[in-house]
Amino acid sequence: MGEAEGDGGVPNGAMLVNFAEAIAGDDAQRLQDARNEVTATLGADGLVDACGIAATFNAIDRIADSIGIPIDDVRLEPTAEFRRELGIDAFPSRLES
Amino acid sequence: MTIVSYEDAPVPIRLDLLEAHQRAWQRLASPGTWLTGATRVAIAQEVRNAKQCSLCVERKAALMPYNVTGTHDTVSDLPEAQVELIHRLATDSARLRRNWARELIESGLSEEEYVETVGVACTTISLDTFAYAVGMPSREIPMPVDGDPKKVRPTEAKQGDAWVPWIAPDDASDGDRETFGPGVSNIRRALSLVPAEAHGFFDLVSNQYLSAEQMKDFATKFRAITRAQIELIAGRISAINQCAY
Repeated sequence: MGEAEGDGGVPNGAMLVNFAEAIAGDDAQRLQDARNEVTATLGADGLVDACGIAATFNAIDRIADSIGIPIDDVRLEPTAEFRRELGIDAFPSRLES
Repeated sequence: MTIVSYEDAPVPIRLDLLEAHQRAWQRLASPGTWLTGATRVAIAQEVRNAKQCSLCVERKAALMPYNVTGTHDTVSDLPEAQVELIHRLATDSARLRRNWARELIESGLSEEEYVETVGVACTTISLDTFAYAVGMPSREIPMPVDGDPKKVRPTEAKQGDAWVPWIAPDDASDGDRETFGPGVSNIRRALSLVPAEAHGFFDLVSNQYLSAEQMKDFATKFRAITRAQIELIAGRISAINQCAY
């Protein structure tokens, strides 16, 4: 997946994307720097909540992948265009679910 | 059993989150529906070991991971199929295939054991990811609790569109309609072949992310960050993991 740019219309979006990428990576210094920036900007509570979200989705993605669950019917059509545009339909997990 | 503490955390951890993590660790080390406490603890140990497994490193780097054969580096006596499941979950879950899952099941890992293993491994991954993200060492895995698994399969579970049987919305019992019934997302029913594992994992989710009710309420701010910020982090993690769901 490519690098994300800008805030994407979300306050502090670029900072949070950088934090998520640092959590998913293995560069300890990058993670420490990103963590410090999130704490300075959003406070300790904001940091904890951001960590909780990342921890949740780093696990829930793997449940979806290993159980092979299909995308919910109610979401299939409304998300079709952006899944195509973002290349999500080309993910190996999409081809197998 | 040792109660997990966050006294060494670099920032205060809110109480409901601490308690949810304590419940998750306790659940992890206790007898499940199909697996003993010792097996569940071994699964957690294998999750942590997977990063150092040379076969997993080689497969992760390969364009065609299924062409790379070999033996996993293990730290447990778990059956080979279960180790394969745990290590692939931990290191390369985006490229899992239906045939791969069925082969593991046909080689002796029951469907129920497969699902419970996924639940335990993903609970471990979630708890360890939180510790890593917040800036503290992974917690010590608790000692296993003695006892026998109940080995009760829900009669309403059937093979559907997923790779393993689950409880379809219309088949959910009265007691499980809120968790697996109509209107509930597929991810919440993913582990429903082992209902206790599904309930346990989503207890963790409710405190780390949002509860099912909170997810539907876009007007209330439940966390210190906004809903848009929450979904941005979730989306970026899922994109990195190449999770289509």
